[in-house]
Amino acid sequence: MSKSSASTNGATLWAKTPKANAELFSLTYGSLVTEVVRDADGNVNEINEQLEKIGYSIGIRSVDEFLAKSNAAHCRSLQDTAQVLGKTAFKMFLGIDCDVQILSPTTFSLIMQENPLYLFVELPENYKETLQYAILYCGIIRGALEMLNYKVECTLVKNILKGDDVDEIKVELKQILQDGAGDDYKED
Amino acid sequence: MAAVSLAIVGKSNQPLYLREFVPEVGAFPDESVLFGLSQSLPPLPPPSTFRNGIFQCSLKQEFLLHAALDRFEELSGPPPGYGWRNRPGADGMFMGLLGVVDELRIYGYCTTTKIKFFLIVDDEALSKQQQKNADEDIKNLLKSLHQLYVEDLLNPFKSLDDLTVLSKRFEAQLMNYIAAFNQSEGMI
Repeated sequence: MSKSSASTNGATLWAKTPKANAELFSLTYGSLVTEVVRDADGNVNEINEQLEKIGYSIGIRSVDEFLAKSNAAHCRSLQDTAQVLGKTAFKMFLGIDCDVQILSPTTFSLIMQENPLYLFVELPENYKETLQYAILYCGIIRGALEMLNYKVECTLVKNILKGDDVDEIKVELKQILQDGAGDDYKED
Repeated sequence: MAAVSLAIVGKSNQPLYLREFVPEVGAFPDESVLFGLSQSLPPLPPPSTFRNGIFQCSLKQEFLLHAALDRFEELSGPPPGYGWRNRPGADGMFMGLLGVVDELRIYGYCTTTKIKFFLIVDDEALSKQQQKNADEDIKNLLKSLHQLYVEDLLNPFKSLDDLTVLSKRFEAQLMNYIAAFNQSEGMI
């Protein structure tokens, strides 16, 4: 799957999807985050974990929608998956153009110049360095790829809210899972 | 004509933001003592005027503010005071010149949610036409400041109990607007 066909595919899909108001989207996520912050009582790790879990449950559901709507070809390698994820999927759901950087046969990075989640957001001083606002995306990627039998670890490497110029999500392949029947259905 | 200071006052007349743009020339020498502050004001406009829960500003600015608030209450009382309110948008919110003290003129802008913006400018006498244009420019400046305030309010991390404006982004953009205003007005 060539790079350009992934992005053209993404652009056509973005044109076809129904749109939502960006302000509504950002404000909804913002109030979700403040609610989680209030519940967590200062424990930033717990906040990040909660947001990642929310992303995970979004990811496991939206991967089916993505595969149904896009006619992305079979990915023969992780590189292909990276291109489809960054160019087609992110474009289709969020309208963001992502840059994909392959770091190694098992790692790649998604680089975003701007992030629709960040509209109006300014992190307070006590959370500025530690709260990973866009960790939702990490959860989504982890969930989506797990449904496709890739067990990955996603980390937010660079963060616009912290002062960097771009957002960078690093995705590392840990394990390729086996399909199989669960314990209840195993034949002896 | 240059903008000297800005004040944002909330619904119950509590100060939300106070900032001077020009260090007071010939200010009261005992100013810092009067306020009980041990540090003296730096020669450049201070980066943040909100320290220890109080806004730092000169007494003169405070006097002007109180006078403007009084005049504002006169204007918003029973008719014919309400006459200026009937136009839609920024036209209806702009209260115009509230008062003149020495060479300083104070302009007011009151939003529908009773958030009041006061802008103090220093001014030379202008012809009627020039004054009209200047008023128009001040109205537009106040309209953009209203927009900035709204953007800060939309930050999900902003507490709703304490509406004081503490955002760095607000301050940075405010200084840009004021610099642009001072430059354009300086031509007159």
